[in-house]
Amino acid sequence: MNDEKVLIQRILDGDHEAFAELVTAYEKPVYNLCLRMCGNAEDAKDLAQEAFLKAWRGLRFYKFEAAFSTWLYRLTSNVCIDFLRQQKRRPVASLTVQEDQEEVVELEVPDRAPLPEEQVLHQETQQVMARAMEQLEEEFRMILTLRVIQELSYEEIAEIMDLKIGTVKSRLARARNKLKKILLQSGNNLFTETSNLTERGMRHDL
Amino acid sequence: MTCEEALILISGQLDERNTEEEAAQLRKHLEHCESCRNLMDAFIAVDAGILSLEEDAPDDLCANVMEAVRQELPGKKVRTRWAGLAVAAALILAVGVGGLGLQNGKDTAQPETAAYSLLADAAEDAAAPSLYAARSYSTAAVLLDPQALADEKGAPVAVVPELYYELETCELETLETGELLYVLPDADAAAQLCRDHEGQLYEPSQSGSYSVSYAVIMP
Repeated sequence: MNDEKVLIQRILDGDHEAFAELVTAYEKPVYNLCLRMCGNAEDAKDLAQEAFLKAWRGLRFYKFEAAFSTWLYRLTSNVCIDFLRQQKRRPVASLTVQEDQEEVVELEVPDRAPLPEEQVLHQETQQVMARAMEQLEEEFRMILTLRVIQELSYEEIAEIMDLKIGTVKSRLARARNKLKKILLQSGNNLFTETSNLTERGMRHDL
Repeated sequence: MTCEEALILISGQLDERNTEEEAAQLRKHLEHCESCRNLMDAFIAVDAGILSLEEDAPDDLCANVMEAVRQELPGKKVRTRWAGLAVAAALILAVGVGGLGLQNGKDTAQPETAAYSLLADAAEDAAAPSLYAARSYSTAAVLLDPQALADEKGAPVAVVPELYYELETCELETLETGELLYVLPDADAAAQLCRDHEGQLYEPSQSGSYSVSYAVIMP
């Protein structure tokens, strides 16, 4: 952590190229947050780039007493929310139509070589999950990504999303529950597959 | 404990965020509630599914960011208001010198060329931001006149002490005095920002209708 602040100070002192180290350290979580929020690889890349550029421009306003990661994720989530608002303002009817068919752009497999069965199964699961995530409300998508993928603490999530800790806890429960419902409604086999992990069946009336 | 209450604790259990008391309550509930036991399994599956979505960042992301960063470094900066003023000053000079040339009657081409090169120099000087960029932040704060900025922009300018979350998504312009000028989404945003954060609002001397407003941070 300390090293990171030294690095930031170095960038602020004029070592611009050192910013690449910060980008490398955070590109994966930032990209994944963008990816889950916007739902496709192309926009996610643009958004991640925009987030880093905003971080670069605003770096001198970063307060050293706070964690840089929290500051950056908050900034990234704002970039994503802004993007989603713009999307909504655009009158694209096709967006909703596509939802049932082929919206999962990032999951296209350009390589046509046959894949091992296990991998195919894995990809199917991913597609099902990605589609289900997209049907979730924005704040549910965000909180689940921050918690499950980025493994952030409730405290960090509270800071990023401007919530109380208690709200983080209950919202995560509601988000998981909603995602579970969407998955059940879509009639996928995720639960039968993964329930092997827990060696327990899944009752469909939950 | 109701199943509704158990829902939150099941989720909390996955995150290891239940108190000992809560954990004990949940254990007791799960002993006799099959549907909540199933819910717990489902949540575990849901989490595993979400985690499976994690991807690596694109290979060229960092390079692209750095390319964009280099574009923004001093020396590549777009000209802003001082440049405009300098061009205006150069034009006045040019007209003056040009006029002199005409009065001389004979060779108008010579002074005209001189005037043009003068104009070009002035514009170039104004566009060279390294001078300004070299200034320390506090010096810059003294130099910036928010009222003049509001007049020049023809829109309200909010002066706030620090970067607030609302500003983080705004477009930016770099002023030659070194400050970053945040372009706010609408005319009322500056006033709103001042209300929320004890900022100071500067409105253009000539009132009118505005489509945007601005914010500057002066610590």
